[in-house]
Amino acid sequence: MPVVRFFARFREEIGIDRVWIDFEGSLKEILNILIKDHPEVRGFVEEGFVAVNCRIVEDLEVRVGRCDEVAILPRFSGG
Amino acid sequence: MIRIQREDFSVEEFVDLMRGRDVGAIVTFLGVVRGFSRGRNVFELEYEVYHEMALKTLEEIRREAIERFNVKDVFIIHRFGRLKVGERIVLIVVGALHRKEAFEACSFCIDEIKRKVPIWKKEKTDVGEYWV
Repeated sequence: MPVVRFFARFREEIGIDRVWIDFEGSLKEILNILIKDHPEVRGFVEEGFVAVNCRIVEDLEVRVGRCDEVAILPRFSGG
Repeated sequence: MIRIQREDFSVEEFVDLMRGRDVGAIVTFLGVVRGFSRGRNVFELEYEVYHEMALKTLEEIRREAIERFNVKDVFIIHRFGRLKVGERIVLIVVGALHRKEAFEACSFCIDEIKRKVPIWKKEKTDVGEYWV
């Protein structure tokens, strides 16, 4: 099943670093399932980036399968 | 060469690695921890990395810099974990035939790192801790 990972401030705010979702479908559907249990994810998605398999995606209709990894990422501050 | 590591690194070691018959200019950028930020005294930075994506993105930046600026090679080393004021954070080493393209490629790399690479820092200051 797809895994959703959280990093940095988002990880601290939500209190977990990853969660597995027992569902395959569009990214939008995955995020909506997640938001039911963790409403703060809605704000994370609006504020930061969403990546699927290490690629930032803007199209929430992209399909997420059982081996895929979704990441909810705050704005970057490296360097 | 791309590296993401907790350990410190030697600038000289990577500069020496870049030397070669077809290199006439080596430009480096070294980022270090500053002791103040937005009016606060900073005593430590904590870096967190999404390793799999950061490695992939850094390699893309390296390849683009080499192709776009026609430089010989680019090394990027970025640390994670807790770093005290004055410690080394990131090193970019660019080797090229001439200085102009080396400077341009180096500047391009640090700008792209800040924009595209999933690395985050938490400032630990005298008035609290903040993700920036």
